[in-house]
Amino acid sequence: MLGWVLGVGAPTLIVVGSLPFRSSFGLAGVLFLTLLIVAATSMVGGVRPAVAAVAVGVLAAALADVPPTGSLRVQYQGDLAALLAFVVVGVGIALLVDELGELAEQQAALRRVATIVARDAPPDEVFAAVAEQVGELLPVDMTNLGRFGTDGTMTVVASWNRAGGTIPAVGTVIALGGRNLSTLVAQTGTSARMDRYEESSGAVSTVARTVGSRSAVGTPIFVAGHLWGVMIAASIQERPLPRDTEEQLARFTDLLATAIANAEGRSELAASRVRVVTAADEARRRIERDLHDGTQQRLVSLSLELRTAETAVPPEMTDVRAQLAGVAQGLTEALEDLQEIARGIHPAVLAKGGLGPAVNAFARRSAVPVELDLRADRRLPERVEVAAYYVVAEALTNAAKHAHASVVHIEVAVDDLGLQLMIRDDGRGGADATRGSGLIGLRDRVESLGGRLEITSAVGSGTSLAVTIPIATS
Amino acid sequence: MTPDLLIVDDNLQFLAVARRLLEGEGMNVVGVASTSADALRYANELHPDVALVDVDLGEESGFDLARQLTEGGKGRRVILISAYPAQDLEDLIEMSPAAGFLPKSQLSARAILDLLALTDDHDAR
Repeated sequence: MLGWVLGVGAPTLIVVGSLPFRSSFGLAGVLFLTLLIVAATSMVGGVRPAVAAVAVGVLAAALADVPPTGSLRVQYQGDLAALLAFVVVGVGIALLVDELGELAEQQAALRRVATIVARDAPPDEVFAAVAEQVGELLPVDMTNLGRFGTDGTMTVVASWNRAGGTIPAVGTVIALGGRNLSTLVAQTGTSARMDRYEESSGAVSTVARTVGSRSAVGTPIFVAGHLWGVMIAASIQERPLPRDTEEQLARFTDLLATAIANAEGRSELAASRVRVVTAADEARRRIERDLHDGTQQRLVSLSLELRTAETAVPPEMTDVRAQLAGVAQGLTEALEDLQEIARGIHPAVLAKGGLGPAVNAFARRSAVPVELDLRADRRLPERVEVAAYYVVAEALTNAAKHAHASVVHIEVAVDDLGLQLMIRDDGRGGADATRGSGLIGLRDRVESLGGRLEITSAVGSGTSLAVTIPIATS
Repeated sequence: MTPDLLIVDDNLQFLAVARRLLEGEGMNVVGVASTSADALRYANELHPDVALVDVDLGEESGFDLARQLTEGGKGRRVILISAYPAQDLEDLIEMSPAAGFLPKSQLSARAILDLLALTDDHDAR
């Protein structure tokens, strides 16, 4: 509306308003001012009001500025050429400015989506943003994003409607098949459009009819070379969507593909990290078990047998008895070494009593005095307990070996949501989690459980480790 | 008077060796068991005064068995044994009703009697 007022009113005003100053303004000045109005009108109201502004401008100029005035007749060829040039340039400006405006809007919409993709937002958020941005940008009434399943279905992952409402709802699973846009895109892997819904069929078309779709365009979403899903933009108007709709959609589906590939890559990486940590833990548990049940038990039995033999030796054979006692002592020491090694491989005590007794045992053994604040009165999933155990082990080792701390404060708190671990020492600080230290392994371990590990270790002010590990509710 | 002993461990070699050692040292071993079920049955049939129970009975927990054995027999006492160091198990041993703990490699008649005497003193006070 504003565009039409501007387009028709402003050129009239300029031409009529400039009449008293005609000698100083001249025809060229009037026409130039009118071109500015055309550009402004195109920006505000689009092509049609801008073309109207050109028409009004040329008529008013012919009537008021070109001799003979008061008539549409043009006396001099120079004036005619000026008016024709004005019309050509005016229409050109109208089209160009309108095109530029659309392009700017499209770029802004793409940028908004790209920003969301760049900050690694969850896929659901990216889907919703794309559905909305495309809906706002194009002359459509609804947009949908569907993910193709391996079982001939499509799952709605985003849904936008200009009139509000969320039909079909996100999460809706619709069977493909029949004559409809989604099925066509799934079968051909190329963009398609549908301008007549009378002949459509299938479950997808039932949904499309429910929301009043009359003409629509669908574009495939390819992720890493495979057909992932489809983006649909639909209008409730009979008239077909603009010719460049497919092209516009494709720009957004490219961004979507990037976001999806990123998210899939991330979750694959996370899953593989979980597998690596789990496999390593499993191997260590087995080795510890084998050591304990095998070697350690045999050594225990041997040392008891040795003692049995010792009792059979007559008391007067002091040399033999002393020798046997020496061997028994050696065996005992070997057993203690073995216990130490086995404990380093896998903390078996965890499986028996959980984190509380294990951390307590640690505190008793620690070379650096430990202040312990233990609020872990319940068992956690074994992987969580193992991770927490290793964090405490590494922190105590660092405190004693590298930090030269005089005291370590350990806080363990467990609740329904998960585990919080806080370890502070008063050592010399300067621990670097990014260089080859045990801290990297700890971070991998904690993050593979969806947790976080933060290290603060300024030189001279001690090291503190803050770890939170959530407990999956599933 | 030497107490009647029941030894419970899932390692058969250890059972045999420990029995030979303790009997050689003058103890009276009335039975050995390798599972919790056997241990409870023998405890009822043989009425041992003291049961030596490995904390680690394969899938079963020696701590659980220690509780069942002390609850099931009046005056019956349990000594937990393990190849794991006492340090690692300290909290669990404290929480258990067992009279005490002996590392397997330190097992002897002397160690058992000392431990029992210690807890007798403790109970008397």
